[in-house]
Amino acid sequence: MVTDKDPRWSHQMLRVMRIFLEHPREGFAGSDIWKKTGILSGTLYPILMRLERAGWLDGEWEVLDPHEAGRPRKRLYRLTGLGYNKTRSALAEIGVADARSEWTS
Amino acid sequence: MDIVISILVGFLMIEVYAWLPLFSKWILERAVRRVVPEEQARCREEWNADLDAMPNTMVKLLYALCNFSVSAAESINADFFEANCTDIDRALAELMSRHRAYVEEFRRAKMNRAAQKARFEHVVIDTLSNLNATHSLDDIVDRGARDAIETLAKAFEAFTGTLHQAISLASDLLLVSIDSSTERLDQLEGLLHEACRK
Repeated sequence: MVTDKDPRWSHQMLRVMRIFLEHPREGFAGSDIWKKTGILSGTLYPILMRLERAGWLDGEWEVLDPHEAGRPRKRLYRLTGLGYNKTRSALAEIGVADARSEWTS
Repeated sequence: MDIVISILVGFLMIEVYAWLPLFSKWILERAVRRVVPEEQARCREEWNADLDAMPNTMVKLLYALCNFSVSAAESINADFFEANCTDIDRALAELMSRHRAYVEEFRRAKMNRAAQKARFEHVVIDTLSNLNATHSLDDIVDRGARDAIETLAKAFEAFTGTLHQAISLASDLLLVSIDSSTERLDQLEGLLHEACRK
């Protein structure tokens, strides 16, 4: 379910989006972002779900058979073009310089 | 004594270490159950996968406890309901807009009905008077034919009258039901806004 309503920015959300902005092509699981940002999981997952719902992140299940792998599938999040633009604008608004390359689909 | 305590602490540590993953999973399952049913499967799989990726230390337990915090489930549930309320609100707005368009169209049709009725009566009167002008009933010698024409004219008048009454009644009933459905839609919208606010 994707909503057309933009989520409200918070300090933690900005920290999460900066991780994606630094690695726009990479997919991250919640645990990866937890390790990188130190945001507690109780706060992190609602943020990830909110960003996915807004279409700023694209969440996909890892492609593997949980029975064969002996572990559940991770949900991997990737930055979308919309999320990239929104984060760049938000960073620009608060005056944080960001010299990352332009988004190319 | 110190040796005994050290051995006991050692055993305790081994036990804690052995039970840590299971205990963490148990806490995580409790956390998942706090989330709305629609999101539980996703949270269960995602959180368990991420729990597996954690080192088998107290970090695992901390991770599980953080997810167990009330705020996690509350945030997820609030977002879920807000997203659903937004969807319902959008669908309801679309329904209201369609409904208003239909009501407007119907009211316009009802207003036109009076004019159409007048035009119809005018045509009927014109036709009858033209018929009388060309073939006056007095000119028709055959009594049987004259009676038949008179009966036909009366039947025609009765038919148009009944038709008009039926259309009026149907449109009035439709208007009442439209008003009632508009009122219910308004009530529904009010309830939805109230629910969203809560």
